[in-house]
Amino acid sequence: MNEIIEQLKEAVHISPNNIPLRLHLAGLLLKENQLAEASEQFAQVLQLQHDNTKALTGLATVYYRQQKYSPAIILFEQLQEQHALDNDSRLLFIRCLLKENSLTPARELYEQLLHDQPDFKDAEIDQALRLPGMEMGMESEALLQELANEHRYFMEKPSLNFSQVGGMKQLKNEISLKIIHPLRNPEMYKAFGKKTGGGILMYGPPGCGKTFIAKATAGEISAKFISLGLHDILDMWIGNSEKNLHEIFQVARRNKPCVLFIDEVDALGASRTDMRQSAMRQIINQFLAELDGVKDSNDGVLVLAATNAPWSVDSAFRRPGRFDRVLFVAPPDEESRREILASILKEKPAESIDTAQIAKLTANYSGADLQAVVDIAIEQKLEESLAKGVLQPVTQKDLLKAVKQHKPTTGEWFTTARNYALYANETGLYDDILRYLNLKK
Amino acid sequence: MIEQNKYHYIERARLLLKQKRYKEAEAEASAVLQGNPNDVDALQIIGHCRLDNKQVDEAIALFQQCVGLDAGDDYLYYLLAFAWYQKNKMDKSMHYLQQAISLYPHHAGYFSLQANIYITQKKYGQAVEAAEQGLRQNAKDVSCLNARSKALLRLNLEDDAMESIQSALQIDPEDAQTHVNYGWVYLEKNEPQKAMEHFREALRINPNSQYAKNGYKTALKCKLTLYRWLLQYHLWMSRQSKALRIGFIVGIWLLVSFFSRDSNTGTRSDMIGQVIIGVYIVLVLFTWLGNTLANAYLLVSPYGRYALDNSEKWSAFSVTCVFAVALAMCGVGIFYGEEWFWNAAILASFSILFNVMHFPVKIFRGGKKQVMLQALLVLGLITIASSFISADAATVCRSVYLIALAACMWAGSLLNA
Repeated sequence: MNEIIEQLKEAVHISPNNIPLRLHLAGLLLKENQLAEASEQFAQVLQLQHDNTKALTGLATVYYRQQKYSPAIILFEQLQEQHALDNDSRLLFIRCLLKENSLTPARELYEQLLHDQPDFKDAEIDQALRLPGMEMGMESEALLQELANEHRYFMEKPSLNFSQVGGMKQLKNEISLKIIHPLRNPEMYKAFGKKTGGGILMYGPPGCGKTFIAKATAGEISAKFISLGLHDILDMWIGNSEKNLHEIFQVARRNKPCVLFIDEVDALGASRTDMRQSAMRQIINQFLAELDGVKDSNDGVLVLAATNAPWSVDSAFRRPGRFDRVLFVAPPDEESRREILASILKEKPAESIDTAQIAKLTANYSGADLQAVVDIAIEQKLEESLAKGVLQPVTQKDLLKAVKQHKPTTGEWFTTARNYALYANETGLYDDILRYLNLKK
Repeated sequence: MIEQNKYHYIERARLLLKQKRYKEAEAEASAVLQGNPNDVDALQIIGHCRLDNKQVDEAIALFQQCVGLDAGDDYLYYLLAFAWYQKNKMDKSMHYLQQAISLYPHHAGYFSLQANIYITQKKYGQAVEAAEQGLRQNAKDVSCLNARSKALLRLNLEDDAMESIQSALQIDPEDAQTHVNYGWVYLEKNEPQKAMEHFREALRINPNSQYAKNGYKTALKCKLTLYRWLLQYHLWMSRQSKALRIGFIVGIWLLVSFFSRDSNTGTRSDMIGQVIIGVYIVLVLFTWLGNTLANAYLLVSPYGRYALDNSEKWSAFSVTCVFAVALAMCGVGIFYGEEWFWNAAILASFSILFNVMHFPVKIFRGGKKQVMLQALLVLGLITIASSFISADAATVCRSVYLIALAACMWAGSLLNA
């Protein structure tokens, strides 16, 4: 091969203006991965004829292999303008764009590519662009159906109900009034001209059962339950956000009655300082439009949102018709703690446990904290059991010891919340926190 | 790990960092490090998280590692400079900051840090210059405007300082730091009511800002006239250069000792001398204890109670208690003799110790100064106890205690100046 290249070089040297000859040489060099020389030859051709598509494609390929993505993108764009982008170069173009992290143009190109070649599949690009479904060339209607059937967005039908939720009386009442009664007695609400559906925003320290009660709500009215987590929201920021959000709401509307649960909703609102950036504003506006049900009715869709940082939630979220109920989910009270402990210990080997005593000692412990306490006690018992070879049941003493080891994790949250309640509470939004902390102003 | 996946993780980590979800941001960045343990972006994000969580040493170690991998990134040097600034090491901070500026001299934020370093070093003229250089890069940089106003205020150019703050507030009326600055300007102008409004506003915007809380507490305490005088004195002192402040303290002391040089002769000037010494001691004690006593006032006021942190609460509480008991002991002394007056005086002197002690007390731990304070406290207690055993022992103990106390106080107040 090298011989041929040498001969060709000589020939090019003799007739330097012979474009096909030079292209042939450059192509061979590219094949042999002699990138520097290939790029030189392609450049020479372009000097002779600046819009030679073969040379442009070749040079772009060289740049791609040399990992010089931005010059490669410039060349591909030129090819695109000349309508000379074949499928191979389109693929390279997409890859370059992905490396440079420009996802939107990459996605557009990939959609075109899939349109031309419906059978095409590239796992790497799929993963980067997160376009499952697109690979099958589905129409958006069909895709929506598919999403609903496939239980994407973690759609489920929970079997939990309110009777299984200990404590949280006020919360349950509020939710009943807003959601459960409207669905059971629609005519009464109609008579008063009140729409069903709407939103409730729950806030409180982590691990106190916000997700749990959302699920129980869905179970109570035997509705479907779609849950969106922090990562889904983040992906909206990064990728093609507005469309995604609309899709999710559409799925919920098609599956009514449906509870749409958005965890860590403050990630959507971001903080005040970030919001001045218009790109971020867009997704908030889209979310508000979906909440308001501008294009499509939200009847029968209940949006429950939870957050640990209500102060970061955009205040526009709290207007009437959106999240007009803002509820504080406090750490469980003594009675609830006793119930929670009893249910955690129900199927564990335990001996004469006085849950009331432990409940008394664990003020401010969240449900997750109580779980951790039991876990610590069990771990120690397990070690002992393995050493002795006989199963040792968990005793009261073990639990008391574990309580000493595990301090409540809600403390940190309350130090922050206390400051907001004391100094940033003009609207009375945090009165519940003041009441809970026994602070009077 | 595939290259483009890395960007996905990094971008997510950056978003999370912006939203102050440090735990999640670190998790995303760590995922990148699993593929490449030397990834500069990921290391920098983790360092940034640690920096915001006050784990400054770890942050510095991470940034150093980053600099080792990519010596051309100006922002890394800036982060390092900021970390050292937080550790109060101004020379080191300035060293790295200069590197950042030399790599990229167009970032207003770099100059605002520079101005703040100069302010800490009390080089106010240079601080103004640095802030203005930053403003040339970005005329709307709020942090530069704030630093400029702070420096101008120290240079006694109140009106210019005010103007600078007003333009900062126009650009961003929702900036807590600007409101805090505004509040301090009003305190300096002896208008605590207006100051209070701005501190309240700052706390509304960012209830967790320690600066805002400190200002708020100070403004509350200004309801006490005596404290207002004390504050004016402290603010005036803080504007002076270090040499001037030491000169002032030593000068006053010399003056007092000159007037009271013949206070044992029994003449009329003896009386004057004793009065001068008395007034001097009260004033000195007031400059030391005034703040804590004012905190004791906050302790019983409905708003102030929540603003104090635990250490301040305990300090104020113990100082007040010590004074109350000492007063009671004086009462006992009227009936039972001189011994009790001495004990009352020694007990009262504990207030000076409690004033600077950190609460909750870690017994003989927590740094040289704290250990020294605790040793003095023990010595004082022994002295009081000795008065019940033998008069001679009490005399010896008293002299030792008083000399030790005086030495520590002198050294302390000179160091603080």
